[in-house]
Amino acid sequence: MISPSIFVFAPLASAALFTALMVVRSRNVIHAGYWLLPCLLAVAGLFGSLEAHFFVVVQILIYAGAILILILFALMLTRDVMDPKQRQTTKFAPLAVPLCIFVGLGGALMMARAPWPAIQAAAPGPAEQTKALGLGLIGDYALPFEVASLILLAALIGAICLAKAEKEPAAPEPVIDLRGEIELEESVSAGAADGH
Amino acid sequence: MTANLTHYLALSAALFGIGLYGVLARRNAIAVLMGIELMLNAANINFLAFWRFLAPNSVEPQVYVLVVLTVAAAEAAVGLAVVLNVYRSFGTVNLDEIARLKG
Amino acid sequence: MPDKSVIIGDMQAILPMIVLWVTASVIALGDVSLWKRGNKAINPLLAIVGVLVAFKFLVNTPRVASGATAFAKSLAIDPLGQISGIALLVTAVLSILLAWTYLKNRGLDHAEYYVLLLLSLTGAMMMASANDLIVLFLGLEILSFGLYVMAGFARTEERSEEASVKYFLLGAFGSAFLLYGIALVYGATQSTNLEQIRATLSSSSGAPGPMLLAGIGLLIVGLGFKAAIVPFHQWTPDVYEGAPTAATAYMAGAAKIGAFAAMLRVFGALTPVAASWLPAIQILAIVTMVFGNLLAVTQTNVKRLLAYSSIAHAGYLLVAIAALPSETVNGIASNAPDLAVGGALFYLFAYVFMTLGAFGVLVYLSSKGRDVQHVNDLRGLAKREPAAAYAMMFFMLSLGGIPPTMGFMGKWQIFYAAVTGQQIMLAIVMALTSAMAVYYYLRVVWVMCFEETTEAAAPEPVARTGAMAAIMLAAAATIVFGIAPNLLNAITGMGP
Repeated sequence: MISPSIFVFAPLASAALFTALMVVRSRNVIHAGYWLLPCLLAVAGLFGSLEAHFFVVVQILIYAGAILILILFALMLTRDVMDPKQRQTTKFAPLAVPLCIFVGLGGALMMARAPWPAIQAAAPGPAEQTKALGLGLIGDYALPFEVASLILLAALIGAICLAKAEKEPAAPEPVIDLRGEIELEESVSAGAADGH
Repeated sequence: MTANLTHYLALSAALFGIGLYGVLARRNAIAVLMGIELMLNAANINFLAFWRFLAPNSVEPQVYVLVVLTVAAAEAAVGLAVVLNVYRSFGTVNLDEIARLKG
Repeated sequence: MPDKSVIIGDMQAILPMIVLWVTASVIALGDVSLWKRGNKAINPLLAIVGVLVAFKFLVNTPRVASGATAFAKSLAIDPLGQISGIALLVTAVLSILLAWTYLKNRGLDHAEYYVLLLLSLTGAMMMASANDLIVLFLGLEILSFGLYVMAGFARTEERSEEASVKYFLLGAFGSAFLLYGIALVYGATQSTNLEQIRATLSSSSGAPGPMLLAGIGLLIVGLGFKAAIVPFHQWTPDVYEGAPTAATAYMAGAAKIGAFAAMLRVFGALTPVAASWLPAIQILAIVTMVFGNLLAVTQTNVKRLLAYSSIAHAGYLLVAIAALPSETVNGIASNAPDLAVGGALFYLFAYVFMTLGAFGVLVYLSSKGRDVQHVNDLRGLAKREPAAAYAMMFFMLSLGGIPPTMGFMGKWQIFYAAVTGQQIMLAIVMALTSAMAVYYYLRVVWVMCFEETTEAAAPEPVARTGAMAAIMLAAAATIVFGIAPNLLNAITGMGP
């Protein structure tokens, strides 16, 4: 396969665009979060149509697996505050529609007009690709690779720093709750034992 | 019939536009974050399309996609910590209501 | 397999950054295991030691005129990177001193602040010497992650939380633009290496294609968000006001230096297609200078005033960027690009000293229950706190560009570069808007010296040594380097 077939591209592309539209248009933010999943999977499919095998897996693992779960957690932790019946858009929304149509369609048309050199070499197979990528990461691209780990460190410390609770005297509360439940369970099981 | 670079770039531009709309128009901070994720995905499609059509034997674009994925994951983590932190005291993630600072 | 000497050379290039990262890790781990959150003074002290060691390594790196690179050309070892690195380290020392006082007085004294400051400093230094767009992007992200959290560091204050969420969303938005721009520039030139991009662009004939144009436009938007250029500046006043004052000071310095060092590099590489981006930069420079100064006039909150002032200063620095492509004037080779880079770097130093000094005075006056940021809080300061008041006066005069301060010398150098590079229009707008700015800076001086204090005696701050040291350092630098600008050039190895 020198070039991806339009019959593979077209359904994936329309799926990606449709689901992306649903992500930004859904009134219910939880639904928007759910729509993000097929959207990210469609993008993974597009990576597959480009024969970037490794990135199909990475996209599913990191985007659909990790990032989406984080987003869904955050949505559920804050869900009570955004009633779907409420207005979901800012006052800029009417202005944003033409702007984004301009950016999206204009960009698309601009790309369509640009002249492209007709290079149609075959892509390396999955094993060669991944091997080359691995060698690249410890060779010429060692710096971006190492710095990416620094980003993770900064993000980790930053996120913990914001999320950890301030020292408050009311801390032992959950322990009491738990103890109550354990006692309840014990009494229930004791009652059950008595019954038999 | 084959799809060529133009198709992919056009798709990516459209996805970028949709993400942009999400950022500009949504009031929910987490929905805005989802819009930003769509924009990052659009950039990744670009990188991989350039790799496939222009330089299939170079690993450069692939390294960039990996880097972008890392940044996106880190950004989501920090972003959600920031948003939940705001939620704790404002009781909302609605950006219109998070406006105590006069602007 | 690269040979050993190459690896050692690579390591030498990032040694200052490694030192900062190691210091951050030592503070993070030591705070939870060795001194168990007990000894609070050790964190800022360690941080300062780390920055000074990094400074030593950075100054000791062999000076190469240009063209030296490390890590397969992804990092440049050149004066621009080294000098902006020194400016960043100076920013870090001043902001650690300020944070020491501010965090202690406001009960926010946690080790994480210094860890995040050092990590984001590492990112900023990476950004300043990035020779590859993707390394630049990574550096920018590390810098930003630290700043997002530092802006929200006062987690119980709504203002601080709002600042962090606004900064995060706008920052991530800007990064997405930058990244898409990088992707398009890669597509157009088949490289993200700045040297390679420059070589490709100068060898190709004809007008740049639409993809390159779109890419450059997106790069301008993305970097414009970071550098707070009008119309991408809306977040600036809110974030500057809401963030803890010590974090605002660091943000004002580090983000500006990182963004402008990166811009000098990127637009230097894009010189062959200058005709396509120069008009945009010229318009942005004019708009930024005019609106930054106009909006500052009505501000009564000193932090907001300094935010608009930092926007205006971004406009002056854009004038230097606009003078970059003037490699030949009327067919004769011109030294305008060198003057522009030298002027911008000198201006960044001046900006750091005067802006961090001014924020330092606010930090110095703040105490537990009282966060000084309104102009009225400064009433009659000359009688209450003469040392702080006179230092503030120098910072305001310097920000207004009045001789013999450093601010004046910086403006003069950029003005001179702009005139040499035939950017007459920009030079005129710069002079006019600077004159306008004097009004609002002098108003602060007026309030401090000639108005009576109205408030009751404030609770005495717990500790203020760190802030006083930072203010005095900054004030001394503002005056000494204003009178003898060549001294700074001699110290940093800047200029001819």
